[in-house]
Amino acid sequence: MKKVIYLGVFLGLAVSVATAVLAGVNSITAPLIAQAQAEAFREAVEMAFPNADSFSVVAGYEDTWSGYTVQVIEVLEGGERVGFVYDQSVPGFGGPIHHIVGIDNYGVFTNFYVIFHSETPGFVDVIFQDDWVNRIVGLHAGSSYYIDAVSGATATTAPIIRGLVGIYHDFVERR
Amino acid sequence: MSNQVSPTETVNVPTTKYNYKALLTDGILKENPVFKYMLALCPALAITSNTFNSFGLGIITLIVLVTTNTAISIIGRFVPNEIRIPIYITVIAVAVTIMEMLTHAFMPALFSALGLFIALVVSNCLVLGRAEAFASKNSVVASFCDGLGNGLGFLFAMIVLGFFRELLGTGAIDFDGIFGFRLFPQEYAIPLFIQPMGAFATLGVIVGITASVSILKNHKKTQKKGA
Repeated sequence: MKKVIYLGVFLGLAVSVATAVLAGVNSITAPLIAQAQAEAFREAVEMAFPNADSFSVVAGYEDTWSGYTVQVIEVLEGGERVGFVYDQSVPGFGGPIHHIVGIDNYGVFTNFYVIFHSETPGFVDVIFQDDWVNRIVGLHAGSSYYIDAVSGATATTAPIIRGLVGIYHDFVERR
Repeated sequence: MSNQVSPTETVNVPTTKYNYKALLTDGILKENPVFKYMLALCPALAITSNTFNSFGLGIITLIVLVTTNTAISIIGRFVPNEIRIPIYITVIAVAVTIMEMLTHAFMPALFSALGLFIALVVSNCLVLGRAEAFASKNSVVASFCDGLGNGLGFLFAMIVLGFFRELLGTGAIDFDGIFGFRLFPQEYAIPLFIQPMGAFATLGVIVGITASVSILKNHKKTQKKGA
């Protein structure tokens, strides 16, 4: 019995030390990670409308069509609305895929930028590289039904496409 | 049987004379963990679709191997034998989680590309294998050298696989914009090589070549001895 208690205490101490070390490192890296994500978000929004001078959140909702979380940012240039930026999270194969989508007044996608995903590397390399993304940028939102899925990674591409269609539905109402 | 360690005893480090040069270099070619022992095949097959990602995971695994081998060699003699595996896994998990946090904070692009595979280094059989088979029974310096040698071997295997797969699959090498070149136009590339099936084909060919070289060398040695 004494032995079991000794082993339990030893294991407990080891885990406590491990937790303390991880908490210490996390306190250093967490602000840097948050800062980098905020920076990536700002860059993605600015990339969608490089000449815009004002971005303001106008809505946040769960899309009834796709079921995904969406935040809508209105973009102004010289006091005139030039389009919207959608901050969307869709459920991928390995977890949420968080992306930023720009759409101008004519309904053309101006940017598609993935901020974070947990998809299996190797299988999804082709999706987040330029070739597939470039099929979205410049496309009219009404044609997003015709973006090809990628064989072997349909669980990743299908929810992204559903999300884009959801954005189009919202855009039509908002316009 | 008299030399067997009882469950409640801790392990005594033997006072062996080590061949440090062999510990550092054998893992790279002669005893390469991937090409000879087929260890750590999961990341070696899944991540190596391009050279930069292969290099990134290779470096992370190298750092984890060196730190865990050294740490386990230091604490190994104080750890009760029956809970040694949970303790080793805790040490490995801490090292991997720290590397994951640092990569996320300082190299977000690499973190995003490698994703789950950084966390999966915890279950890399090479890391736990070296901890249990070598670090827990040998001196700190020898364990450090063993970790470094095997880590360099894994890094070498990752780079070789990544290099050939990217080159044949895209016709070019792009090391995250730091350097790169195009060997032939993209229309002549074979995309199969950057697909999962290409990973098995490339690994198979490389393992075949290394095994043939090893057999030829052994054959020559036997012939010399015979003469």
